[in-house]
Amino acid sequence: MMKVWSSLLMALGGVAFLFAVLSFLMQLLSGPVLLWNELVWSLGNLLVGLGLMGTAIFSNLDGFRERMQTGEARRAGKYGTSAVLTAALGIALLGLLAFMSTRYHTRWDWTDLVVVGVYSPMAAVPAKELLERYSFISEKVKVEWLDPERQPGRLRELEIEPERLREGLLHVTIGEESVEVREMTEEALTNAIVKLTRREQKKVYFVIGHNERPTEGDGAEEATGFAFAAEALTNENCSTPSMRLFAPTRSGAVH
Amino acid sequence: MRHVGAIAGRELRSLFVSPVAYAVLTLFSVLAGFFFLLSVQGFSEAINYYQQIGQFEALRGINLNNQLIGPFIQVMWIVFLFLIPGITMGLFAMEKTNGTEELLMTSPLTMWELVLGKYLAAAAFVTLLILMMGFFPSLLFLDGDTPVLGLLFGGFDLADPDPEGLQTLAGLLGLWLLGLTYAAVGTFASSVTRNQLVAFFLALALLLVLWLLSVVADLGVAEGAAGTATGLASVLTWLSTSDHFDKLARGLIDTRDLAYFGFMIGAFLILTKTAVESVRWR
Repeated sequence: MMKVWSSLLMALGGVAFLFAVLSFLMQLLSGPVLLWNELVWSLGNLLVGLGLMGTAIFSNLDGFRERMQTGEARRAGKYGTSAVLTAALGIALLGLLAFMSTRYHTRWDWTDLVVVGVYSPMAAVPAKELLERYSFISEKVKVEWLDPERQPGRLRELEIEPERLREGLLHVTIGEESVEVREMTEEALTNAIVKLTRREQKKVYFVIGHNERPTEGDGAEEATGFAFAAEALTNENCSTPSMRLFAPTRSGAVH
Repeated sequence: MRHVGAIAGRELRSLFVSPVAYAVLTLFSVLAGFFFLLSVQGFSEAINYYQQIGQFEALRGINLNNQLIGPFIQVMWIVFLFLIPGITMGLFAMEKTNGTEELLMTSPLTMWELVLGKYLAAAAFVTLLILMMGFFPSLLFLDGDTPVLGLLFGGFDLADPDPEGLQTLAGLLGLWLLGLTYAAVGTFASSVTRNQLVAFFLALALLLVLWLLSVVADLGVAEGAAGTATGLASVLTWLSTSDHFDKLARGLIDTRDLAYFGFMIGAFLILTKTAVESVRWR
């Protein structure tokens, strides 16, 4: 009976200890400033956990002592330590390999790249030469030609306004994302492909809190505002969150 | 390692001599069919809606991969979350309940042969589930003039009726790797307890934690001053299955994600081996 109680106390102690560790991790994640009342919560859990686990050991101290004095305990200690260390070493080696994989990695994009060349037949020659090189290197580059005078419907489908066309452009699409290239150079086209294949969104922070120019709200769309700059960055596949350089405390004071 | 195949075969046979495998396969195919039909219905409703409001440009932009196959694979992930612990819960726990654990431990098998044999049986079952599930998206690759697509989309002629095969394969590959990882977690959970129900809930809890780690990291970052994403947050995000699976489901095969799944499977198999071996010295 005593053994059952001690196991239960040990399990409850373990849960409280786990809560303490998790709440401390959450605080670390939420920023460099540790708040006292949240630290008290973690410490309280830690103390309760350690207390319960200590009580569990003391309540079954005789059994524990008896076990420690037998050959069984020595054997468990010897083989147990060896097994746990071997497992830890194996996992550490796998972790090292996984870490190396984040440094040296390759990726394959299995979505097709569709390039629509929007040119009148006369102006399309240089673009054709450029695109032939890309489609020769990769089968994933699908090229389509569109004459804006003969196929105005297709032009509307791609949401290209005729007045923006001038000499022509390339409309590059991967999945749901698309981008337009006006400059007929290898660099411009490669940049467009890199932009579309870079799935991780970059963040550009706008500093706020000290009368900086706003990106939203009052005055953002005026000459002194940054709304249009933020919009342009969003169009370049960046997110534009705002950032306070100093973290406020719960009481509203600023460090 | 020559005994691995024999153990895996024995485990698979034991699944198929009882009604468990047939019940799981039937339930899975019914669920897969149901969710596939729901995805098709959602897709069809989106087409009808755009047609009614005359948004033909938006209609042309609709894509079978992003609007139908992607959501279907994401839903099946949730089904896997509950189904795979059910398959793996008995792997080691049942040996303990039946009293056959001692026979296994005293047989001339190495611990790795035992663990890999059991795991491979679960992995083979997961592969069977993926093959069954792959049948549903493969319907969409039939020629647009066949009655199947006409039936599914009410005869509407899509601008680009063929889904991208490689992107679909990448999604299925992602789900397969996820299933193999879940099987490794389930095998570990089964090795630490003699009660199958406890093994099921332990595996489910571990899988939920693995899923939600990235949410925890995001919440932590969002609560603090912006821009304070710490190394710990990056580690938690990396440990979470969600981000790695999402990239594969979108057709992006990155060796970093493949290495992640390899790490998780390897780590949980090492833990399983240690837990099974512990009866020799505990």
